[in-house]
Amino acid sequence: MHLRELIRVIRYAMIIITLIIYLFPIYWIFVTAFKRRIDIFALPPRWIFTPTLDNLYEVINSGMIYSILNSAIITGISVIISIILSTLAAYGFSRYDFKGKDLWLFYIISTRMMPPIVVVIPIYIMFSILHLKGTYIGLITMYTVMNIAFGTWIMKGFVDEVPKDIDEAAEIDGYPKWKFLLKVLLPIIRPGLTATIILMIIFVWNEFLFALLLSSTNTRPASVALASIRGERGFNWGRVAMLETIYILPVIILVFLVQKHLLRAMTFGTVRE
Amino acid sequence: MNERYAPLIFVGPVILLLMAFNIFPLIWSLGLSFYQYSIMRARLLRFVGLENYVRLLSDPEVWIRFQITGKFIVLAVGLEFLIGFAMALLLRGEFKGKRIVVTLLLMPMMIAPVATALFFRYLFDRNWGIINYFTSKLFGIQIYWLGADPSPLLGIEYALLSLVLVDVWMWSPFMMLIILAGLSAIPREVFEVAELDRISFVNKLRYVIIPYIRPVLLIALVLRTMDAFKTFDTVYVLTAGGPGITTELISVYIYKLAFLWWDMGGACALSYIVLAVIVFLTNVYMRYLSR
Repeated sequence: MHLRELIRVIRYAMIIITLIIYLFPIYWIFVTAFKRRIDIFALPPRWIFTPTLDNLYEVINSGMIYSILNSAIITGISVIISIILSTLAAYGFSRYDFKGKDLWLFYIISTRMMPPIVVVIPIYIMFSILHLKGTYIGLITMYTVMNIAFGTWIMKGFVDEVPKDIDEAAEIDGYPKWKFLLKVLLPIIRPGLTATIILMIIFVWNEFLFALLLSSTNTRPASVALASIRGERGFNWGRVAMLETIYILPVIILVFLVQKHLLRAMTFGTVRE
Repeated sequence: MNERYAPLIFVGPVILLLMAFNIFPLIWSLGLSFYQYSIMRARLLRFVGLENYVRLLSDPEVWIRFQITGKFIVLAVGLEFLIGFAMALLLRGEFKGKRIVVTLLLMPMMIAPVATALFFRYLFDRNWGIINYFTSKLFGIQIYWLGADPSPLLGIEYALLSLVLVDVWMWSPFMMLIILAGLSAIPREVFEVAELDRISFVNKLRYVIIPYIRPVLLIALVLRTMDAFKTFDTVYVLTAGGPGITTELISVYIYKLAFLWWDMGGACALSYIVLAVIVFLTNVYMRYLSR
C-alpha cells in the first residue's frame, strides 16, 4: 500500500514538473509584458517587481495595436464565409451522390499534406496581376479557401453522425430544405460547428506566410507585425512581450473552449477520443 | 429543389473556390516550373523544359538544404515522439485534474509559431535570456544558443539545436495527444492480464502497448513528418535561416529563391520536388510501419 502511495506522489510530482517546463515560457512573456525596461534587463532576473502598464500604452500609441485590429477583421470575415460554405458542402457530400464525389473528397483531404509554399508563389503572381495583393479582400479570399477544405472535411464527419431518418422525417413534414438545415440540423451539430469555428479562427489568427506576402503596411495582421519588429533598432522586449500577450491571449481562451474536439480536428478526423 | 442539381448548390461554391485558388495555382506553378520566370522582370518568360529541375537537383546548395532539413526532421520528430510517448504514459488513466493538465499542455501548439519563435529569441538571448541564466547557475556555462558553434547533440550547430528544441516544445504535446487517444482505446482486460502475469514495464510496453497502438503511432509520425517539412514561420522569426545557412530549411530556401532572388520558375520546380519527397516518405512510412 505504501508503495502505491509513493508511486502516486511521484507521478503527480512529474506531472507538475512537466507543466512547469511547458508553461514557463508563456508565463515569462506575460510577466515581461508588465515589466519596466530596468526590470527586463536585470541580472539576475527579477522574479518580483512593480508591474507597469507603460508597455500597453506604447503598443497603443505606436499604432501596433492596429495590426491586432487587422487580424480581427480578416479573421472574422473569412471565418464567417468559410463556416457557411463548409457546412453546406459538408451536407452535400454527406447526403448526396454525384459524379466525382470521391475524387473531390480525396483532393480535400490531400490539401492537408500540401506545403503552403507550393501554393503561395502562383497565388502571389495571381494576386499581383489581379491587384488583390495588399488588400483585405485578397487575404480574406485566401484564408477562406484554406479553411473550407479543412472545414468541409471536419463538418462532413459531424453531419455523417446525424441519422438520415431525420432528413426524411423533416421532408415528410413538409419542411423546406433551408428550414430543415437551420431549424433541425444546425442545433444537432452545434457542438461540432462551434469547435470547427474556433479552430478556423485560430488558424487564420496564427497564419504567417500568406500574410507576409499578401499584406501591405495598412492591412498587415499581427503575425506579420510581430515578425517585422526585428527591423526596428534594437529590441524593445517589453513592447514585444505586450503585443505578444495581446496576440496570444484570445487563442488561449479559445483553446479552453474547444479542447474536447481538438484532437479529432487536428488529425483531420483520423484519430478520435 | 430539383434533386439532380441539389448537390451542386451545396458543394458548388466550395468546389469553385478550390478550383480557382487551389487547383489552378497548383497547375500554374507546375507549368511555371518549366519556365525561366521572374515577376520583377515581366518580359522574362522563357520555356526551358526540365532545365530548372536538372539545375536544382545537381546543385550542391540545394542538397545542403535538404541535409539540414533532414537533420532537423529526424531530430525534432524523434524527440517529439519520445517525449510525447513519455508524457502520454505519464498522463494515462484517470486522475484528478487530468482535463486541465492536458488542455494546458496543448497551449504551445495552438499559439502562433511566430509568437513562440519570437519569445524564444528572448529566452535564448545570450546575455539577458533566462535559459542562459539557468544554465550558468546550474552548470556554470553560458551558451550562445542561436550561434553556429557545434553542440553536444551529434555536433549540430547550436542554432539548429535551438530550432529543434523550439519545435519539440511546440509539438510534443501533439504526439502526446494522439498517443493518449490510442492508449485509452486499449481494452482494460489487456492490462489486467498483463498485471496478473507480472510482466515487467519494458515488456508490457513492448508486447502489450506498442502492438496495440501501432496504427496510432503511425498516424502521429506521418502527420508530424509532413508538417515538419512545412516548418517556415518558426525559422523565419527565430533565426531567418542563419547564422550563415545553418538553419536554412528547404522551405526557407524556396522562399528566398522566389522572393529574394526572384527565381520563380526555380522555386516552383523545387517546391514540386519537395512535394514528391513528402509523398514518397509518406508511402515508405505506410509500407514500413503498417505491415
